[in-house]
Amino acid sequence: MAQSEKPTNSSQAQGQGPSPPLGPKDLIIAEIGIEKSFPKGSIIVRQGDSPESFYVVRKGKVKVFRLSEEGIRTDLTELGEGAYFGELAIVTGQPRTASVEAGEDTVLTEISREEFDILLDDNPPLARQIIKQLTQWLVEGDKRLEKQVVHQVKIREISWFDFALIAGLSVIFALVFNLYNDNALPLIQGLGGEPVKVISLDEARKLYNEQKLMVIDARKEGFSRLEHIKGAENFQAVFFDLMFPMFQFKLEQKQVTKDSPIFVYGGTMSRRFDLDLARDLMAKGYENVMVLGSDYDAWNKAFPVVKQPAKAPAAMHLGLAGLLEWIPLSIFLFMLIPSVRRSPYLSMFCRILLGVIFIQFALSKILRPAVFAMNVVDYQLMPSWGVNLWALALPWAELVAGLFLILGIRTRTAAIFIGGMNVMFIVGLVNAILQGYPINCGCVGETGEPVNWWKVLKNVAMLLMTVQIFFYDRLFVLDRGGFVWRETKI
Amino acid sequence: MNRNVCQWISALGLLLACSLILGSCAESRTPFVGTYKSDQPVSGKGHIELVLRDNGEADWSWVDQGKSSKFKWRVQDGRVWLYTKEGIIIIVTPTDGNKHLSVDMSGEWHEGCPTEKCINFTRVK
Repeated sequence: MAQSEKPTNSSQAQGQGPSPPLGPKDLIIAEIGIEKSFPKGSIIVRQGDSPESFYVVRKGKVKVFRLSEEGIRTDLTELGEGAYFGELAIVTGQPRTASVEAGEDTVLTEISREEFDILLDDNPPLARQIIKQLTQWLVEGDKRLEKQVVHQVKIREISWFDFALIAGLSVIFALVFNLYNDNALPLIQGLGGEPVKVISLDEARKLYNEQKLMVIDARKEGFSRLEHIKGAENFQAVFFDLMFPMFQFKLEQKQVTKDSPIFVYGGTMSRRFDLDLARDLMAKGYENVMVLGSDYDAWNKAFPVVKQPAKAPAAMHLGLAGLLEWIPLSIFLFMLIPSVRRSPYLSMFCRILLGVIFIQFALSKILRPAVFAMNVVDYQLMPSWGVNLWALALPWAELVAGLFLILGIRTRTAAIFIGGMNVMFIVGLVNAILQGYPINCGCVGETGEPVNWWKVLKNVAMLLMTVQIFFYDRLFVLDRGGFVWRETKI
Repeated sequence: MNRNVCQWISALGLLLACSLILGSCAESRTPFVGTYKSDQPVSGKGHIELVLRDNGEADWSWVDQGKSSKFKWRVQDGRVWLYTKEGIIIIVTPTDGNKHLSVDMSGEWHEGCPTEKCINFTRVK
């Protein structure tokens, strides 16, 4: 229990207990001590110093405060004329546990340890009063400690409701916005649609060997360039509406008629490009279009394939948003310093930075969800039924969690959400790198961001920032029990 | 560190957020609004006509085929970005005072327009 530097106000002490309370002003102290003047703002007593003197405020006002290890100042009280402080530190001999500064131009009487001992010996009422005050402070200290513990528990408390709040808000915003968005997405891609003739791998291979098949790769160009069936034409399903006359011209050149057998492949778990293109061709009058069944992704094991090295997309200059993404890496270096790593101020900086980054990430995805859905498809980790739902809801989760971080609402839960997203991005990026996918990251901008290990590192740094927030955030927080500004008087 | 520092950091964060949000706003479309026609017939199937409207909508049609596809479009860093409903972005590079457009049909971002994937258009209206 810190007791060496508890401030005392003689007027507060009056009327408590059976003995008539006596303050120093009631004692004959004018004959001892030295009168000292302190200009406003000057430090009279410094926390941690060894106690040598006891002080009585003669004129003016002093402020008593504590500084935590992280440098957080907590104002304890103000003392006016007649109040005294420093007596307990002298009694116990402990270092001072608070600092005192002059709140205005102040005059004090400084009484040395020896003088104070004499004063106590000669004044048993003063000794009794000090014991009584010490007891009172112990009780008050326990109450304050309890209040602080409850307060800290409330700040650090997380509940399922918090997760439901962020997830629920994200889904509601996503669905409502999608209703009114010009670029709205169907909630589930490829539901229904005309049935397409299915062919087995063996049948397809047999027809291929007999050179009776027109083989078409429906994937995006980058994937087709990486690996395709020998002799296949690449008609990107995503360009069908724009480029069908060009596709038609190529089919005519190959003497493919409306009833020729056409084998379309290139479906992935995230998007059945083969089915999409087959239906588009059927809608244009091609009658004999076939796709693979459940083994739609096994074509590369059954057909002779042509492989080419992956060609990464060109990198685009992303401007300020791109620069912003580098800051987490420098934060990561700061975190190597233990005292900084635990700082709540670092938490606040991390919250603002992550909030800004994720809001920035979210905006273009919200406005043009189809672009983001195509990014999700490129990673080939999400089942096709979930791609559009994911593409609609995730950006709103980024926006809501980012706003919560900046505004200080449910920050630990928001940090868990953003950390979870980082983990998913890291998994997606590492998988794409290891598989050699020629895809755009879809991280900051809509295009022009190659997938590389730097992107992974940046996401790892952001993940560490969320961990830091989770453990050490306690400043500027709007949470249960109201707004918490750590520096307010406790 | 004290309250003032926190306030400064908060203000800086908000300023950064605002600048990023404002920075991501699209540039004016007006200089590019018009009708463009491909310089050459494409794959022997005739010319393509591209109409960019001021309201952010665009039409892409094969002149002799009579069918058109609709886009959204915006301008970023002096280049036109066409958004298909499939989620593909087509980057268009204007030249010669916006009289000519080079349309990159690769669906990826490139510094210029790759020759083998490039369709050139000239403004006709």
